[in-house]
Amino acid sequence: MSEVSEGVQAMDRAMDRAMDGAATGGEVELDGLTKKYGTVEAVRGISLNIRRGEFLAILGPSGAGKTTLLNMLTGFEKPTSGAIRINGRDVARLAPHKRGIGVVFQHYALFKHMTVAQNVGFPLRMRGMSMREQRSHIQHALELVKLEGFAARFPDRLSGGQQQRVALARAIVFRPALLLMDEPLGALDKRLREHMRVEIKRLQRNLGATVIYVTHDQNEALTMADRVAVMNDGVVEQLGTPDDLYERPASAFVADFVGETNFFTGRAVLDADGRIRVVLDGDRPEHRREVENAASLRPGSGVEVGVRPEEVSLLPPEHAEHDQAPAVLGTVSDVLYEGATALHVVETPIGDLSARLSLKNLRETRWAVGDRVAVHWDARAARGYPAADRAS
Amino acid sequence: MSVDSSPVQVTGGLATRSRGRPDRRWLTLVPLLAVLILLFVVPLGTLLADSFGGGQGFTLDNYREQVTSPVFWRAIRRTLVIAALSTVICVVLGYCMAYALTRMPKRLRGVLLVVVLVPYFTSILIRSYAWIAILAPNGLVAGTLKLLGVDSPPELVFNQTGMLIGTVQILLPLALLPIYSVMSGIDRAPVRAAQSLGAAPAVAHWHVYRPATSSAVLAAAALVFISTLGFYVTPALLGGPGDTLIAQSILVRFSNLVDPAGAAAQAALLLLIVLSLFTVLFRYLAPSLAVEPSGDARPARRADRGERFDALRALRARVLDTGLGLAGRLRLPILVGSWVAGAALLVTPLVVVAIWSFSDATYLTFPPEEYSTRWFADYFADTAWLDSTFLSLAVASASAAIGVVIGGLGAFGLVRGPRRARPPIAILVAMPMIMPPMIYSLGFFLLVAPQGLVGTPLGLILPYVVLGLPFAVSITAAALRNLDVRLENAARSLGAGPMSVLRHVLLPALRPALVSGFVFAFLAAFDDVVVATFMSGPTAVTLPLRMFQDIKLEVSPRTAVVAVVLLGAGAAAVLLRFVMAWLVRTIRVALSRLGDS
Ligand SMILES: Nc1ncnc2c1ncn2[C@@H]1O[C@H](COP(=O)(O)OP(=O)(O)OP(=O)(O)O)[C@@H](O)[C@H]1O
Ligand SMILES: [Mg+2]
Repeated sequence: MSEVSEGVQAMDRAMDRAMDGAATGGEVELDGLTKKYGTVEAVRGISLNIRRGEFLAILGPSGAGKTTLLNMLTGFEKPTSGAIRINGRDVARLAPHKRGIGVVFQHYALFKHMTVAQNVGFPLRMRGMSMREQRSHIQHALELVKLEGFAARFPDRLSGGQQQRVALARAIVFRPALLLMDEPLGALDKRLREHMRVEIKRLQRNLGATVIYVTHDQNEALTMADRVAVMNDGVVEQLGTPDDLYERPASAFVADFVGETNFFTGRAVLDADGRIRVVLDGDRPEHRREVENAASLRPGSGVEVGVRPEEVSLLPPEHAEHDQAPAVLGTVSDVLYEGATALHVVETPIGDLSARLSLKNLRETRWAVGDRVAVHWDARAARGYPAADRAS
Repeated sequence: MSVDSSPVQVTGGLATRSRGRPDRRWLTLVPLLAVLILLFVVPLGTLLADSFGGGQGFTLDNYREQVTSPVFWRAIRRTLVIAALSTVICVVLGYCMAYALTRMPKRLRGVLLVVVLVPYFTSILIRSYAWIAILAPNGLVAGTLKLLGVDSPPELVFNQTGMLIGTVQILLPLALLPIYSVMSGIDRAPVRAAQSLGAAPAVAHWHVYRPATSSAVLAAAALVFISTLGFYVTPALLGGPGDTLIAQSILVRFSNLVDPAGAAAQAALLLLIVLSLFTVLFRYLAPSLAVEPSGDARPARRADRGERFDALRALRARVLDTGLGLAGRLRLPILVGSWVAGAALLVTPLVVVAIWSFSDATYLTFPPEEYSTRWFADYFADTAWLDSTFLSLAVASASAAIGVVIGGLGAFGLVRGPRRARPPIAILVAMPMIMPPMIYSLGFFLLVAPQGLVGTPLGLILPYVVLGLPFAVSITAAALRNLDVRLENAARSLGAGPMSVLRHVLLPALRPALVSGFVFAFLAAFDDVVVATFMSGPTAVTLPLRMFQDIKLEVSPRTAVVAVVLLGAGAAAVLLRFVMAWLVRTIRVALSRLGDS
């Protein structure tokens, strides 16, 4: 018993010596970070703060600058301008090996000629830890990723998911204050990906590490992250909690990229009551619709209105003039059965739109192709964006 | 034929081949094996037989005589030392240069590869000769040093220094190219991972990048070492009178001392050294010889060996740390320096030869005091030189053509034929490439001298076919391995017979490989001095042999002229190919335009 606790204490002392005592999550501050490749601006003046122990996902389409941003954090690219502070210390000019950041690479980047244990022990060895001291840390890290029995194997004798976990163990074994992951689950199949999400999340909570997690996959971002930064074209379009992002997208781009959205074009008008409403192209001119986010619209200018498919309901056509929110009449042109839901494509004067109806809704009335329907949505579910807003 | 449901009908599609003729593709191996056995294995057998007394009954006297001769041991020791030194220099320099190549922009990489490849394809004889002009007492280096005020420059040639410089220059591409080809396929992500885990760049290189190159480095080392063991031309031209290496020692025994049996015994001992090295290093060499490796070419994996050596390990780590720290700080100078040294080493001889060919002098002064084209005029007016040129062209073309046909067929048999026969045949095919030419030539001479083949073109062509075969086979086999076998099967299933498959599927796909196989086989023959030393006669002197003898007689610009003529012809051939391709394209476009209007 005492032997064990002594061992643990010795391990912690060794760790603290090696890691400057940085045991838990670091605070990261990006300040006007910019990277230019020739004339291409891959990252354009990004400023954001990441809190101690936070899980931040960076979500964005291909070419958005995610990897470039990560490479500046790890030190493989020098910023053209701007600062990176980790726990208040500017690291922008520090060499990669002096930053003490744990990185999980997209294709794991394991050392093929080393065993799992040697892979995981590498950062410890680089910190001058003796073999004896390394052993317990390696053991502990492998336990965390549930690979206890695999220490003596070589990486090419492991499955994709196991390799991924070795990469993870290697990145956390030296208890970095900051853990970066560039699409760490990109190469795994769907089930394994979902399993690993839970594992990574659990690990992060146990370690209390700050994590920056780059992904293409919005589900990954929304389910794992405390906050998500949506990147596009070198800038952060929106930084917020997953529900912020989904329910209150700040731009048409975010609305489009995160989840699905029906977009309608229209024009903002200033009503007699001093409120800004929207007339949709193709709609009856007397239908002046209320939208969320109306304050950002300029009267007379073009507008895009986004409505999520699950916010759209379909009613029999006789309900067209229903309450205060006017309906649009249309014809069902396609029904795609999805299991728990069914996606209905409807042709209307304001454009084609989709409505995702739950089976519960459908129990009363089922719609078939060719049916006339009245399309409704709640005014609080429609968000307006200035038309020039969208970059792509 | 009734189309009912008999089981044969059901599997008919799959059974076509086995139901038709049995697989006879192995037959294409027959010419290759016949040539290798008759013209390669049998000569080596003759050599061994003669070394043990030949027809006069078994004796070990020949060996006893060599083994007790201090001169022989000195030659062996000298050879091993030179081979070890050139191996270390070539591999270290080649490693740095190859690594630098992978880290530079594409455009520059292309240019620098040409800097490596042009000398690589230039005759060894010409490159060795150029070093005389550079290193001799009134050559380039001495001249430059004199300008700088150094009056008694060091002696750089006709000694072991000159020999070493020449050998390194000639074998550097042989080390650099295989290392580069492996390096260019290495993923850099693990190196970055190592850095992110706390390894300084040089440390990450050492622990993560270098292990991925170790097989290639060993292969390069083995190639350079084995090649140096058999070197003849370079040491003969650049070494001093007392600096004989083992290959020269064999020839001296044979021609000066007129002791063929003694020469055979020396050759057999060298053969023993080469074969043991080859056996030990085979698994690393296999990929560079385009032989299918029989096992895993990776270095043996060492498991964790416990903690007992912690102290020793710590010391080693300390030393390594210091070294890597230094290497890390001097990274850029090391890489740039390797290219400055390497490029100077590779290119200077070619430039010097080009300038020297326009010298007016009859002896060696470099740079020339006066320029003229008299040596060109001299060459084109000299029937003996022209005859030799044509003889060499004819002999090399004939042997390369034969080699490509036999080798191409053999490659097909090797790749598509019975799997179990592959490794032994592949090894046999690779043998002539690593065999010191002095051993082989002596064996071949001993075999055919009684038949009156010496001094005839056929006597040259036959051994040249053997020297060219490894190139023809390995290049074609590599191309065949990349060619989808389903293409052939599809053609067969569509009703093509073997000949149509060959004409319509194989030949078009393999043409580039066959062409480069021809070029390599041609150069192997066209570059040869050693076989010619044995097989030339008064009426049949090959061009390299004539040059070699001319240089040994007096160092004049004549060989430089030949070199420039050959290099010019080579460049013209390459240029002509591009011009022809361009012409054909232009004419096609013009014709299609005509057709349209
Ligand atoms: N070394 C480079 N030289 C020039 N341009 C580059 C370089 N690296 C990236 N870029 C450009 O910078 C932009 C951002 O690239 P980056 O790799 O950061 O995108 P990403 O968001 O990681 O995309 P993906 O999801 O496809 O990995 C792209 O337009 C890319 O073409
Ligand atoms: Mg990327």
